[in-house]
Amino acid sequence: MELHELTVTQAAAMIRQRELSPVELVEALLRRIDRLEPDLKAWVTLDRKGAMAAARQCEAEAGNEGTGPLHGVPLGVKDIFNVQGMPTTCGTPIFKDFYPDHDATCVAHLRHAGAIMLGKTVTVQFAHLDPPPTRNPWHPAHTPGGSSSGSAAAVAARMIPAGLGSQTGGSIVRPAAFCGVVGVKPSYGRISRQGVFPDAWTLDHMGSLSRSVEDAALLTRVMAGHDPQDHTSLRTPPADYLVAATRKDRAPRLGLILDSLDRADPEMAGHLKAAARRFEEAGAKVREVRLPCSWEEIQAVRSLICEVEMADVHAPLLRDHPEGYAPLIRELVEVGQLLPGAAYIHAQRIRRRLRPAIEGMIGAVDCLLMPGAVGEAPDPSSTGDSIFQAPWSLFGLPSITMPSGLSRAGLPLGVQLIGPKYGEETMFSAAAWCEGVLGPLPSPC
Amino acid sequence: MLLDRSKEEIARELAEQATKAYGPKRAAALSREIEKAAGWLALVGSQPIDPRGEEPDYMFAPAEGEVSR
Repeated sequence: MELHELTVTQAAAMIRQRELSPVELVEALLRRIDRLEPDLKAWVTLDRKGAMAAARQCEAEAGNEGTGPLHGVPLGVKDIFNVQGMPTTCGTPIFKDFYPDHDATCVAHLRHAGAIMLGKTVTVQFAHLDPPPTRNPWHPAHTPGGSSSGSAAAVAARMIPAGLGSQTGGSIVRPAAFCGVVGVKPSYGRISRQGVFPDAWTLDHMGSLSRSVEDAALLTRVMAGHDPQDHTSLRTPPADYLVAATRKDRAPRLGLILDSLDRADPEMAGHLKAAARRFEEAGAKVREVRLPCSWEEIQAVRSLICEVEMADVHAPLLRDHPEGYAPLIRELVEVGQLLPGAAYIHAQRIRRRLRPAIEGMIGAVDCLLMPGAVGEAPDPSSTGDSIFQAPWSLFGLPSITMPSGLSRAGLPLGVQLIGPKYGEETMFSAAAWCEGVLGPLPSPC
Repeated sequence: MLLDRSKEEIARELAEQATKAYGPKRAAALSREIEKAAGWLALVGSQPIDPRGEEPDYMFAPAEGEVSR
């Protein structure tokens, strides 16, 4: 196997056994980036010197007692997460010279586990709406999705085994589905938001993009945990999700969301039905469930909350630096400043009222099943529709997408599982089982 | 009360506010986002909630019971 094909868990195991040199791995990935980056445009910053120095240190320590589970594994970080020594631009020229003096909490956890920060990946500006320069590795005439665009494209193109992403609407799961990789958005509060530029406080989730469910589970385990600097951070210690992801013997009970078949593109709807049949034939119990409300209602509630919170995040910056804003996010912030406070509170009350009914959908099953996105990746004039990811950002439930095949046009399609409240362990176990049934996708390039 | 009105009325009200806040040229540029926001407001506003018996807080507590306040 070529080095750039290694997953996180594979590379970590080989480094631990001293079968793989972290220096050779970083060199191989940098060569891959040099070859593909001119077309894909997935990176904002590459820290070649820093990554090589860290790799040499990891090589010297490899196999020692006390090295972490990610020892020597290079990662990419979405450019809204603070990484000490690298600029955090959030995709705007306003922050081009902002070098944070600390790592985001989750980045610090990854470093402590031995990961090497290779660089910063492209984000849609301020992680919202305006299309990025990044292209989909499966076809340059299609978007990689957003806002974690660079991480999704770089992981799919085998430039890195995994990258960090964030989701306020659909910014992890949608680009993962469009690029044919695994994207996980854990429960709200599972991974600290400290040191990550806010999008909308009550909706922001941190997560990862990788090429296997095991990798997603390991990265979530490393990044999770209570952070006193983030008041919404969960106090319950995380389970060992990697162990959960290796328990593939029990076929899950899945709730197929019928409303998603009505709303998906016809090809995606047929693809999901076929995937559900494959799961059933392999032993899963699939039952049909319905949403307690419409997609439009969920989207209206989420969008109102998001727009008002974003208006407040950005008001002073936009006032002082209007020229630094891309057109769509600027429009959103300006209109958000006009929305009445009563509407924001009313949307939050509806959110509270809907939550038990949404959580009740998962009462009799292990996970809900639906498409990762409404269809294949659209053209690069947008990052795609967030309607299939937004509900799980609104209600804070864990979700994961994994590649499930290719469309007639040769673009990836993905299925999405939604776990119970704080139920990452159940979700990773079910996802690993489903991944085994679906099988892997080939490399796009 | 903006929430009590039709989508069209809300859009007109928001357009007037945008004109006052940003000037007519910028307000015109915001028309697409105003239309979207008016749709959300109309949909959300069409669902009144009786506060009798409602939980004594309006905020969604995403990490309910586990938030370190």
